[in-house]
Amino acid sequence: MKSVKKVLALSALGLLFSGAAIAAPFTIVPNPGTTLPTSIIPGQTLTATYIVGNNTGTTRANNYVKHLPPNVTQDMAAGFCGSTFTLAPKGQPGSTCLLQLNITGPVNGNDANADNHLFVCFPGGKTCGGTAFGLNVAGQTTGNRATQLLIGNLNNSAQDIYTYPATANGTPNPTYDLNFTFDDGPDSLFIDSNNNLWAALNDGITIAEWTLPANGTQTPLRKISSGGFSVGVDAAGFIYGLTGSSINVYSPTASDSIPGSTNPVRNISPICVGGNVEKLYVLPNGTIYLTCNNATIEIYSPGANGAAVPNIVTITGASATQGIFVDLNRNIWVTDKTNNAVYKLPPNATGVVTPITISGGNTLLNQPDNLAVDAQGYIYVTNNNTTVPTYAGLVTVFTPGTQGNIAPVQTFGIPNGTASNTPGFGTPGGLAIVN
Amino acid sequence: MQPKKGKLRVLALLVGTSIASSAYAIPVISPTIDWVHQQTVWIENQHMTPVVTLSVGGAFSDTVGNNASFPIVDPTTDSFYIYQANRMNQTRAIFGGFLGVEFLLCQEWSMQFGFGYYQPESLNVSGNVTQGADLPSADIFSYHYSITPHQMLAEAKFLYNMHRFHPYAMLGLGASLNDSQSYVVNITPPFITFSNQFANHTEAAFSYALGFGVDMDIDRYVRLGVGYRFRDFGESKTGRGVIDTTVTSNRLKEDNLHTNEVLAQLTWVL
Repeated sequence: MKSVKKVLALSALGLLFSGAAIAAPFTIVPNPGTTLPTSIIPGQTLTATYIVGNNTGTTRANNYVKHLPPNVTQDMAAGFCGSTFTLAPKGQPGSTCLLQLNITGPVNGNDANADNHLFVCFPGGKTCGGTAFGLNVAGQTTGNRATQLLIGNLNNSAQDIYTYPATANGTPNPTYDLNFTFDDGPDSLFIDSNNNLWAALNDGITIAEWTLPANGTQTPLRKISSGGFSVGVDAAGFIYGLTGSSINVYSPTASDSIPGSTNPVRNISPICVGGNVEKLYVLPNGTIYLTCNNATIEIYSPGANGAAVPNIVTITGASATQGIFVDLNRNIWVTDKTNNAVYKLPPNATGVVTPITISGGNTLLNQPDNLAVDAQGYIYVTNNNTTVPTYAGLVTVFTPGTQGNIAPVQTFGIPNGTASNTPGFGTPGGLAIVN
Repeated sequence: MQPKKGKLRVLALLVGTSIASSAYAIPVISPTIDWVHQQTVWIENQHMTPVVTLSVGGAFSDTVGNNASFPIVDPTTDSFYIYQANRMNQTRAIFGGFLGVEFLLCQEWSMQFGFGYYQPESLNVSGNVTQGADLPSADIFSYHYSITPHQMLAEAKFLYNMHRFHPYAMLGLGASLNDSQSYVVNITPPFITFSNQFANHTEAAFSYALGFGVDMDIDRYVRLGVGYRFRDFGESKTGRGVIDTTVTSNRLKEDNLHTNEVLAQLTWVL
């Protein structure tokens, strides 16, 4: 009876707060700066990241994810909420954790069965919290082709980033032309989950961010000096910069304009032992793919730090591995500058792997540098070699499923100078696609 | 004409024993007692007339819905649930029927005895549930469910014969099957948390009715009447609450569901 009175008193207090927003045991909201996926194609794996917060006034131990929609699994990698997790009282440090979900198929956000929605529970599974931001992912039979290509020009006289339609062919004029006055050309481009453009300059000292469309002398949103010569950004906003000896991970707010903010929050080193580092690619969940120029790639799990041990993949027949990209199906794509080849590796590649290869004279590949693959499977490659006039400055585009010595479906050159009508071709370097 | 003393004995016998049994069973009551046997013979000799009555009317029920509290037992796993019912007054239509016999007790008094079935429209229970692991995590959601009683009574109705009019009093005893069903708690936004989901449940409870009124002869076979009833359906309760996949002992109860009614009745004396 005494406990009932206590509860009634609590209830009376609770009624005073009844006008407040829904509390529930947990607050589960999308990780700020990320967007929840809304469509998926067969074979694709997407991620959704939530912040799970303890809404109670006491420490809660052994919480767990009790329900998830079909086609959704919890990513238990380091740095995310584990199979069980403890949260400090509301408002105190440690009261939240990052919940990452992997999505491999459509998700019906209107499913009437509560068990097919995300619920995080106290031990025992009777006290649970869900989210008002549930997943609703439509299945698509095929993905959409990219709409735009962004190409960085490595010519010292023209450090531009050009934007073209994805179907560009011949000698098209760019839709947009971003000019800037940094010291060297953009050799690594990345489009983050906010659809902002990141570029790492060829001199290896500056990373910069712009909103799209990037045009004219548009001022970057921010710069990180000495950030690295290859760049990626995860769904949480962490910025990954590649230097000659390490991968530096910067906070989502890092900027030259904020003193002290550009100190890395993580530093992965050593990397590419026995070879030289070339390029990196970062998945939304923070998985890092790194090319070393000795026919290997290294894959680091989300949250990797210090002397983290990567999954090392050696590509049979490869020589000077260079650019790297991971498509929506988690296939790994790599360029080889010496063999003039593009390699496709399976998502679960480990150890020594024989790739699917695009190479040969018909491909027009010549010192292929960066590459990207869109949701429909088109393969876009930049080629650096400007010494052979036939191939000079070509961007080559291959149809989905291409392998062997097959001609590209599109080829086009980029302007040589700052003006789009400058005669000759520039040197395409960094490459990114806009879906 | 039977002696007045004998009539009273028969009346006492009927009130005392016949309520829970069929009128046609009266002849076998205590056959070893001589005076009873004599009165039984007397009843069998009376003119027993089948009677059918249809009733419709309005049932007024006040303060439907009870509060309930289910406190935290294990602080590491549980939430508290406090149900505060709106305790609404409700008026519902009620219908019912009676099938029995009528016979003269004396020149002035008649008695009907038989079985009745009565069912009001469903009564709604609604309110708010406050739930949470503690105050900071507490939320309030609305809930509602319905109760539909099905009352079955053995009824005795005593009518005073006054020309065309028959003022009466009645008593019914029996049982009510009270269906508590269609519990819904409005969790908004959807899927933000779990709450008790109470299963449908039919509770069998002792039930009774008391009433009075007046019937009027329309013709030899038909009477039209109006009356008042107090009807107690007894206890009703929901099934056990299920929180997601965990079955609990939580139930919502209505201790004493009752109605005050005004009935119009059409009786055929066949």
